[in-house]
Amino acid sequence: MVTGGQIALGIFAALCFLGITFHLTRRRLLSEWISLAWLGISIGLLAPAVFPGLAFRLAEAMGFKVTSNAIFTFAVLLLLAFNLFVTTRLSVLDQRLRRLAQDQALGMIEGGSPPTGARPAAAPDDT
Amino acid sequence: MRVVRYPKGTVLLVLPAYNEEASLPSTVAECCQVVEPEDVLVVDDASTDATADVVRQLGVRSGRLPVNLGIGGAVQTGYRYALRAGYRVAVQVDADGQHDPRDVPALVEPVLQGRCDMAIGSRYLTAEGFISTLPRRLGCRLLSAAIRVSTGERIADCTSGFRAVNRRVLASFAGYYPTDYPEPESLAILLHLGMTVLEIPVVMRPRQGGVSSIKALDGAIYMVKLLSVISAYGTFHGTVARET
Repeated sequence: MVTGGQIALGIFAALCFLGITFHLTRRRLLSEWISLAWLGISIGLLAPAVFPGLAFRLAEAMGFKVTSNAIFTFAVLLLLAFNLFVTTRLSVLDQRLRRLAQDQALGMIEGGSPPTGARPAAAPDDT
Repeated sequence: MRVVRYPKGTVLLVLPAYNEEASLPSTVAECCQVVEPEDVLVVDDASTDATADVVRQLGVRSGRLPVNLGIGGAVQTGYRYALRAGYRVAVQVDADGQHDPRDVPALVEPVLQGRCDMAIGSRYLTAEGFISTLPRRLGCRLLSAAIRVSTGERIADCTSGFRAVNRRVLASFAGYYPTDYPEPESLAILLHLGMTVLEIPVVMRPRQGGVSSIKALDGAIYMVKLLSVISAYGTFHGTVARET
């Protein structure tokens, strides 16, 4: 049985999370796609807080004996997926940083006189 | 006496350098006996000592990375330059003096002759010279075994950074080159792509200055990473030959 206080606490927590997400997005501390993902997660938190019966029925339909187990399972899976998304973005940024740093060094190297017999910069490039 | 063997713009010696102010002058001087100074490239990996100042006084080609990318990032910078500038062969030479530049021709010739895509200077084909510490030798054996299991081919010194590569390899490495402890993984990549690797016996020397970038714990972590990556490459169609 879910009491009114528990529902109020759930709504309050979900709204706080939503507010923080909005705040970070407005201050450009989150990029569009990541803020969209967090907004989705905030709404996902708000829905069972407003309608707790949803969580009970969904857990029962999926064969969970204890609703909290279902909630924890979904939370872990969601965070795992989000972590994968973030690390993918991080790897892309790492590659870009590496290219950028190398391009700067290459500019410095090519600033000197090219060796005799070497092809000009129009030689097949890797980029 | 200078004994330059290759015309300008043919063979590029790439020296990745991180805090190598002590050993760099002598290593570069030795390199300039094999190729022209314009064909020696020092890639300063954002050193925190006086490496940048030392390089400026040496009269060779140089570039400084704005942030430390690790050995792989520095070597890849050299390979990208070699590809763009039209060099036929690029040779990685450690700035710490472990690699003897007098061995460069032995690595370059088979590559120039088209006998292989990559020639590795192998310290384990002869029992002479500096052989490295026991944990590193064991690690090297383990990696060689992993490459052998993964590919069916045997490479005695898969961790040697003393390697000459042709333009085919340069094109591949310019696109992707591993970051940390890149030699075994990059070797597995080449073999996976069906390229030919030749091992040449060389005698290596103890480092002449600076400190190794590989620490004990890092070494163990790299080992796990490399074994996983090499296993993941699966089968390949390359051939490995060995000269003794």
